[in-house]
Amino acid sequence: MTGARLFGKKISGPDCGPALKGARLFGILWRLQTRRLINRLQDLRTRSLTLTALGSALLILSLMGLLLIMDRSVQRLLDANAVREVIQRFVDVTWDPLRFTRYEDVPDQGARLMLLFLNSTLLSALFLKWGHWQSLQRDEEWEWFAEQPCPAWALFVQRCWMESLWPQGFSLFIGAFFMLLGLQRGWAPLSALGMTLVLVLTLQTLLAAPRLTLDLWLRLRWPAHRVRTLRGAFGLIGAALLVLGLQALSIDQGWAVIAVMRMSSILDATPVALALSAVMLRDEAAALRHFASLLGIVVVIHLACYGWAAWALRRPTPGHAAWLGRSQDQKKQTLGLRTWLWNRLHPLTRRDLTLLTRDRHFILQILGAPLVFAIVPQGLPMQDTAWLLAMAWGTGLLFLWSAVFYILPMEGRSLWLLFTWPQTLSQFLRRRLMVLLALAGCYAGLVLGLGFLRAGWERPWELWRLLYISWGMLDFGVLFTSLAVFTYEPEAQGREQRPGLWLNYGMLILGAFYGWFLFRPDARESLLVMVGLSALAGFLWWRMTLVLPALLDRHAAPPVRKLRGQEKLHFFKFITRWIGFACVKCCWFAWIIWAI
Amino acid sequence: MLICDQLCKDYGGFQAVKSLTLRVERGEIFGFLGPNGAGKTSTIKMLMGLLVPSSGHATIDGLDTQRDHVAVKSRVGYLPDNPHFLDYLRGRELLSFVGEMHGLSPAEARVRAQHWIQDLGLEDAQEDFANNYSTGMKKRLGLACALIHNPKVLILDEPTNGLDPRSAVHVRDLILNFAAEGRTVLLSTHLLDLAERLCHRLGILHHGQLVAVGTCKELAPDGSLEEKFLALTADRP
Repeated sequence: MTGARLFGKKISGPDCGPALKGARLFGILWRLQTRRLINRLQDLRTRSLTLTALGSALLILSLMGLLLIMDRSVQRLLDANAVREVIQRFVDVTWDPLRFTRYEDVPDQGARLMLLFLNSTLLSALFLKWGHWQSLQRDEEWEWFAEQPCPAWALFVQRCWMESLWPQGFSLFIGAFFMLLGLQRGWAPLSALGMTLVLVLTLQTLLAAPRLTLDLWLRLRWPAHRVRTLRGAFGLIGAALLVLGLQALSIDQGWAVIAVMRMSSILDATPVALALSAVMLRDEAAALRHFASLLGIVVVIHLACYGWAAWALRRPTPGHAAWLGRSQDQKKQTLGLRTWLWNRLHPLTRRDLTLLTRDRHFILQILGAPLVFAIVPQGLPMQDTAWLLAMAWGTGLLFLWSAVFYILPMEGRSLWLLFTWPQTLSQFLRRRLMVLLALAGCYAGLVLGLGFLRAGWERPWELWRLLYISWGMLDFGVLFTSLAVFTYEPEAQGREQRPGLWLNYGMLILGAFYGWFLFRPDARESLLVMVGLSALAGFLWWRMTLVLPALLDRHAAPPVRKLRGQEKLHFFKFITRWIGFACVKCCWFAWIIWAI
Repeated sequence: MLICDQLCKDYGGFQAVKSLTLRVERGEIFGFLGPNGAGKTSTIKMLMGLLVPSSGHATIDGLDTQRDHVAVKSRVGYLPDNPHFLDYLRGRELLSFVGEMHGLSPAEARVRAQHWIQDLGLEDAQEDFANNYSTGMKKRLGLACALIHNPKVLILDEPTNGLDPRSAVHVRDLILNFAAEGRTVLLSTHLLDLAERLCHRLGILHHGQLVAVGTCKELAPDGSLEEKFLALTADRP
């Protein structure tokens, strides 16, 4: 038997020492995973539970608000019965397909939606788990495997089973879904629970082996850092699939469903469809047949993965150094154009884009959330250009609002580096703001594009208001940046560096007001607001450039504090005048109505 | 080459640097010595524009550090006492990026980054995120960032803190070679033996004031530098 080498280390062969007993090794791995969970729980405990609860409540309220907007009943916001009615209708629509007694009786659309949702969740689990931060530790695990005196393929098998049996996030998600489905189908609670556990574990087992095989395959060929980068990208794919799945539950029509219905036969043949049918069918024989098929798929996939792993780990594999040499050659051949284009960007822009793609918190919370806003509200009258523009503005603003206030905290504790380059801080901020504005424009464009694909535009000439949106984004970008600088605390950590709540949400409300002007028929009003806002933004930017040199010098702060007070004063003056203007306008309208 | 003229820094009611006047010539290695809180780091930060002087001014290569700070920074390399880096940039990427920010072409920045990575022994860690480096590795990476654009002046705050003996010796040789090329080095340190071996002239700061300036021999003609330092920085009632 020839000993194979993994990362330059001998991993199997006749010279290996006494093998660890399988059960002991499994126990070690299990304890390792348990320790990780405990560490994560301890980490979570350190964060404020109150804030989490408040955030959840806010999210629920936002979703309720979204439902009301989708129902075009904003005016009835305070009417409790109307709210109850809307929520009830939403719940009914969501759960309607589950009321059917036979899987085959479920109307195509509902069944496809459920399948799409479950398939998306399963696939997202495949990618998300692989791209999860815990995966970063897997390199050390592979190294640890390589040091063990056991045949590596057996370790691979054990790791697969570990992953299969360890509870995963998506299991809870799908499990709750199956459990509810089972109960609605009239199963006894214990039977529903038992069936759910079996099905969810089976699906989980199905994912574990391909995930590990892929990881091993890549790790054998690529250096660790490239595999980590790819894991990050796969995490993003997982998040996107999850959004798609959630959308499937929340919509009842639209292009996504139509597209999905075209591949109905493919969806019916997935392992998830087998699991779903095993819950939904009352005919026990048919349900068992489907379940047996599912198990068959699992067994085949696992055996194939084990076979591959045994083959891959027993033959001599090229070492890391050899791979690196080959990859550099390949890089020269294939990445020429991409590198050339990439190098055309300013280094700051390049760095910002790199950071944006690596910071998963930023990706999910700042890049991901507006995406949901862009895609989810399918119930809005998108053919109405004014609505569409308002949604485009809202999505772009949401992104700007959440991203631009991070413009300095994103640097973290490396802000000192900015003071060592031959560039002014305002140049740096301007460039980063341009990147964020470009991304905000992409979001707005996405909303407009989706709206056009779905319903076309009723009044395309109204698209001139895009100019108004672009102007507003620029103004608000500048405004947010200035306020982010004024409120920046260099010695604070993390979120404390961001502006306070009143300013944060105050600016969002101001942005919403600006969006309201999109519906105004009088262009003069819009122009007035645009000019006023630009003046305020310009003024704040100018004052910000005065403050910037002392950004890290809190003891040069007295003029800054005075200045901050002045900014607040100017800000409130602006708001007061605006409200005054609105009052005058209302009086004028009232006078006209009275006169009529 | 590097001139401080009546430089002062107040932190509220506390005066950290008091009328510091200093001149460091081209090709000279000048060392700041002083107990904790003497004002060494504050002075260095004022030179780099991280702090705003309360009064007085400083020039580097004839340029005012506050008014002409953009031009000054292309001539200066800076290593802080405790360098922190971005969370999601690898060592190699960070170094190339810093080079490009100093106006190097991407290819040139990559070549120089590779040179300094090898020179400072960071090859094995170049693909790790810089923020995960150990203290010594961060220090070496910070030094590489300070040197990548080939500056005329090097300002180093505790350059050998956290370095293992071998790396410390290497950094010391690097600084000597840098000055031998006719460039200026200003460094602060607590290590008297390092200062003795490395610096052409020393300045001892105490309570924000420069209490002594000169070569080692001038400062301690009879006894050791340590004795002289302790005598000068003793707090008298």
